[in-house]
Amino acid sequence: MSSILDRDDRAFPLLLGPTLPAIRTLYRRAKRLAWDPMLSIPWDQFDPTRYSTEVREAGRLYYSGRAWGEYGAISESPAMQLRYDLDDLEPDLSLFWALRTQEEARHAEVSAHMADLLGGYLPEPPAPPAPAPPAPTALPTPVPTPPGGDGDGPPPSGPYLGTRARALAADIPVEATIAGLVCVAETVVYDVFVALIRELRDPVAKEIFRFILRDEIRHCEFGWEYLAHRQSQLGPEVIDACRTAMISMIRDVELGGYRSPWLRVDPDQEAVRLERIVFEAGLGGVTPEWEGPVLTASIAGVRERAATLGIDIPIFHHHLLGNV
Amino acid sequence: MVRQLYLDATADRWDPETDIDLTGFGDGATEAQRRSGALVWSHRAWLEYRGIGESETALVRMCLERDREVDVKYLLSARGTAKALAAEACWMVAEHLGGYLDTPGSPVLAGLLRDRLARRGLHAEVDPDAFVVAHFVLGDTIDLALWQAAADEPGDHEGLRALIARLVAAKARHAAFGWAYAEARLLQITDGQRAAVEANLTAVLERERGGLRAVAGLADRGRDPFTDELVVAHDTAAGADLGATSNERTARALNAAVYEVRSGLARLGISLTEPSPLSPAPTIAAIQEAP
Repeated sequence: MSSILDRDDRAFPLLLGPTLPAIRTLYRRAKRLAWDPMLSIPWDQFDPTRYSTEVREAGRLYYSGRAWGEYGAISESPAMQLRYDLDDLEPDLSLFWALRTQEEARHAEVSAHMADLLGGYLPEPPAPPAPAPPAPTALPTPVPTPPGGDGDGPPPSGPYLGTRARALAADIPVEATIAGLVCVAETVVYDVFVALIRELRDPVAKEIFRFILRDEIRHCEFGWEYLAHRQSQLGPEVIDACRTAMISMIRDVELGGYRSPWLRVDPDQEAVRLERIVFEAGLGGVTPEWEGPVLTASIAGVRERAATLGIDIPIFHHHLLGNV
Repeated sequence: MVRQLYLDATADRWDPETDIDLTGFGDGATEAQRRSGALVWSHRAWLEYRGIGESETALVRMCLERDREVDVKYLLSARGTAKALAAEACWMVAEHLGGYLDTPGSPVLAGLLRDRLARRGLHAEVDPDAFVVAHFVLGDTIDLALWQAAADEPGDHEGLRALIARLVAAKARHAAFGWAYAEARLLQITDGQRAAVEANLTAVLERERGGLRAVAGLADRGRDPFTDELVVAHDTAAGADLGATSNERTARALNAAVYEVRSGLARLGISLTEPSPLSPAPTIAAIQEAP
């Protein structure tokens, strides 16, 4: 696999004026809606005595996990920005993305701070439970699915690349990485958070998610706006690469339970239980019965919007959700 | 220390479009002076834009390295934002003075600005400390010194003074980060790492001496009409209070910054060696007198 690092740096001209009006608008919003993790959130309103030790421990793990996820984005985001420059794409993208990187840092920071308030940020996941003996199950055994192809395709033939590696791989079109990362993963997270914020009862948690959403809506719009801008210039191969990336992100990552453990084929039941405790306390988290319909609707929305770009997303089968 | 710099950076939120009022700036300047000012601020915009990639490269690299402090990564994310805002602000001033120039007319300067930062910063064989120290100690100390020189003679326009003060504040944080990083890392490196750090410092110093920021150095690498115009533009725009710094003051600031870096790094066991001299530089007067 070739790397974009073998390419020369961005060539001049360097067009710093607005060349992509929609993206420039998002950049302007990002500047004007910037916030301060320590000052914008009403941290002093957090009252740990409202929660039992069990809830605080579950919340501590939940918010630490959120920080780990956001932390990953801190390295994905600059890799994408480097890609824009090495592909000689419009500087509007780099300006917007530079701010986006700091936004991801803000999200990690507030999540880690909330974990601190709940008892202490955990720098790494607790040791996994010892494997349980196989138990009979009523659920059908799902077919492992690849990062590409159709909704119920054959197993993958190669390793699935993370976003950072995809961003730097010259033979993966940047549009495909945006399609998977932004138009699917970030859109799904946005939809879940929009629904979640209505369930939150803790005032600090509510503000954390409200501020994160304020950034995430721009992140999502960036992806869809950029693909819409590129649509008329994309050949069938790139459209297919976008489709493959979106399918993989939905099937292997979202429905595979990367973000929500209950979706996994063989979920860590303790992790699922802890998320429920957090959710029922109004602090965050999810439960399968709550998130299932939200996720299904979100994926349907992604499918509908992708169709406007000429990207056909199939129906997926999930062992718990059925056809999605 | 790095944590505090990051907190300061997150608190320093601004928008060039709404927080900087350039009304009336340059109104008394001649057309030629305004063109000189636009050229100077265009050059600054190219440099600031390059700084975005510098931040992002270092950030990716820090994320790839084991056991790097989260505050360093947070600070680098804020540095990228600061560079984006600075690039936009410099572009805005150039536009205000008559038009941003999107291409350096000198292949030498274009080459200095296209120096394969990402490849150098992400190559597994490049020591990450060598990259960070060269760019964020040496590069950012020089950057701060040159902007501080501009801040020392900011002219009468309130909006421009405010802009330069904002940029200097950000650059002071960036240089302080570089030094904090160096002090935390350099006393415990191996001889091999030290050699890598010193080699990278010399390479970056060669680009700085060669005119990356202090454009009079460009003439050492070859004269061309654009280089001559850019060098003269700095003096012309400085004389017209357009936020520029004369070549003479820039050279003094550059030398003082290099001296500061050399002294500071010596305390950390690192030598900053001057690059091999290039062909003799023509004097500024010779450039100004050239046809």
